Amino acid sequence: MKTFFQYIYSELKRMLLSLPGICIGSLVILLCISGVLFACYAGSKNQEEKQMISIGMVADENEPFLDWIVDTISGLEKTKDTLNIKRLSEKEADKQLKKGEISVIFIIPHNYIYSIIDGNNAHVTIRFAKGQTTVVSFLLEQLTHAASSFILNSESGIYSMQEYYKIHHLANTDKDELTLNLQYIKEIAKLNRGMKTEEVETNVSSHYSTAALYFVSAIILFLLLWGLTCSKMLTSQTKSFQNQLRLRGVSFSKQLFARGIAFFAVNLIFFLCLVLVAGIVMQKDTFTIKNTLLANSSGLWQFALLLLPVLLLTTSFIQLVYEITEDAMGGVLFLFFSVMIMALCSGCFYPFSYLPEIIQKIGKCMPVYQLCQYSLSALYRSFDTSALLLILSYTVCCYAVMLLLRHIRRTHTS
Amino acid sequence: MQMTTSEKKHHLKIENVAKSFQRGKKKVLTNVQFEAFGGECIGILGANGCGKSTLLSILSGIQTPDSGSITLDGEDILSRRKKKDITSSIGYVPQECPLMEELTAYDNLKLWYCDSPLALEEELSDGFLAMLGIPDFLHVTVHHMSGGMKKRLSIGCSIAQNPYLLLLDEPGAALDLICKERIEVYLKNYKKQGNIILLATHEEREIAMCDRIYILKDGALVPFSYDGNIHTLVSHFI
Repeated sequence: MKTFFQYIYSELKRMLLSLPGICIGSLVILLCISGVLFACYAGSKNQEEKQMISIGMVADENEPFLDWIVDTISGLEKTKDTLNIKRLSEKEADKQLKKGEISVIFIIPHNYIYSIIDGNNAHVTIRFAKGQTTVVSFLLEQLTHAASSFILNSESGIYSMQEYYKIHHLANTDKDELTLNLQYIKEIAKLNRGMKTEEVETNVSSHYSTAALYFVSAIILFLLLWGLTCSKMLTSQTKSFQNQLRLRGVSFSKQLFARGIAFFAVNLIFFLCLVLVAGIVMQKDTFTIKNTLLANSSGLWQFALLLLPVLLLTTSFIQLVYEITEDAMGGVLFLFFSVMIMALCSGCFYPFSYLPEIIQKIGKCMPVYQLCQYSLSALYRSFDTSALLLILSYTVCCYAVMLLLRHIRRTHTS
Repeated sequence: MQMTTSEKKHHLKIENVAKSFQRGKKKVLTNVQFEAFGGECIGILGANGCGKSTLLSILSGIQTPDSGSITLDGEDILSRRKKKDITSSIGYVPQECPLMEELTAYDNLKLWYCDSPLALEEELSDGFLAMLGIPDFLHVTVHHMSGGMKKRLSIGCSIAQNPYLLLLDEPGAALDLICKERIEVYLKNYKKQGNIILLATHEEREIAMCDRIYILKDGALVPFSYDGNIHTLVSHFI
């Protein structure tokens, strides 16, 4: 066992010696990934903004003025390209919300308009899917604009009517009626009047913010592509060295394991340094992602701790790649293309739901997808156990393949 | 494990060892048998690719023969149960230096001497590592070393467990005269202590150092008495 531990120490020392050179390469990779993903993020954000948001309106068929209000709001300049309001039954609206076809439901209670006139406090219910807070905030902002436009238009309409009565010497309406009409319109359009909100569990997985998705993708891609700079660290030792170690009781499987431990330790050191730098940046700058662990710098360390299984899989995957190729250049190329293909299929450059269905099915089987899912859940303070189990299984698989490869090569040469 | 000449001599016995590759298509060793005793240096000669390195790697325990038996002091070194204990009695210096290129000579030595760090310091101050001249380049990284330095370091690493059978695969290849001289002095000393040396070589100087010589031809060892005439030796290769 002494030789085994001494070998781990020797490997660790050997790997740490090449760390300064690797840092420069890592910086280049970090900048490249950040650039590419920022461009993707900006592109998809732009597209998201261009997309219509569907709202379900649940109300009685004969609810007065409601169709008129919906038509008016839908026709307003500010909302006509962003909001699609449709009248639905409550059952249908719920069904569509769960499928992700609509973003939010406004449930207007029975006799709502009359309850306003009567002065009763009936509640409008806003029902939205879990995690759709961003959409809801956006919606309310849009609706506020719409409502103020609606009030202005209605008020000007009433004033115009007053002018019309005067010009044509028609019977002047009561001033009280004018006041009542204005109050009536304001009450209808006032959206925060006795409002209730409800959150609904849906089967739509994409309930994370785009910023968080791209941030997590950047971390996963960086941890995997960091392996591009590790060719020197992970190219195989000479056969004679491996044989000598075997003679000293460090079998091939133990050698792989020792190497894995040393590489993981180096990765961990590097990763912790990065977290430290990120923490300083977060304190000086205002880089935060709302409603996540990255809302403050103390959450950053918690997030880093939760990412340890991710680090375990990325290091074993990198080790596997160099074990397969047994060559620095081959390893670099293999790693780059394999990671890129997995990242494309796992929605690292584009939201996963935008990908074709067949790609989505394939992507879900890939380690990168599971790494992203696990990291996202960790970021949002939830814990994806199934993704964690899959990550650990993939790690075991990596080592099993490495052992199998060594066994095949050994039996082939002897 | 070193012993004086008054004690019982170490004994290596190889019987009917055969080894083939490519599922029996390429037969390298067909019927190798010989004996060696403590205090002897045996030279194994033969044309390139005749199987000298294969024979040494079988003796070291790295490869397994298809058939035959190998015993060291009466114990079967091929049996799995005893292999681990026996291989600590065998030092093997392959052609390719088994070193970690990015580390210094000292770091490499520490790996192989991890069981006895005190012994390492002693050997470096006035032991066989000092005799090999290793303290002169102790803190030089391996990839900055010359071929001779690497070879000396490889020998130094292989004898870390104080073995009594030393297998050397062309130790003098590409070395300068000073290195050869140092290695030769060390090997003579090692032999004197009652240990066995098995040397696969092409070097005339190393051949002269051997007590017995075998030529590996058609997968079998043929004894040869060397009279100092290299032309006679070459004619036996053909």
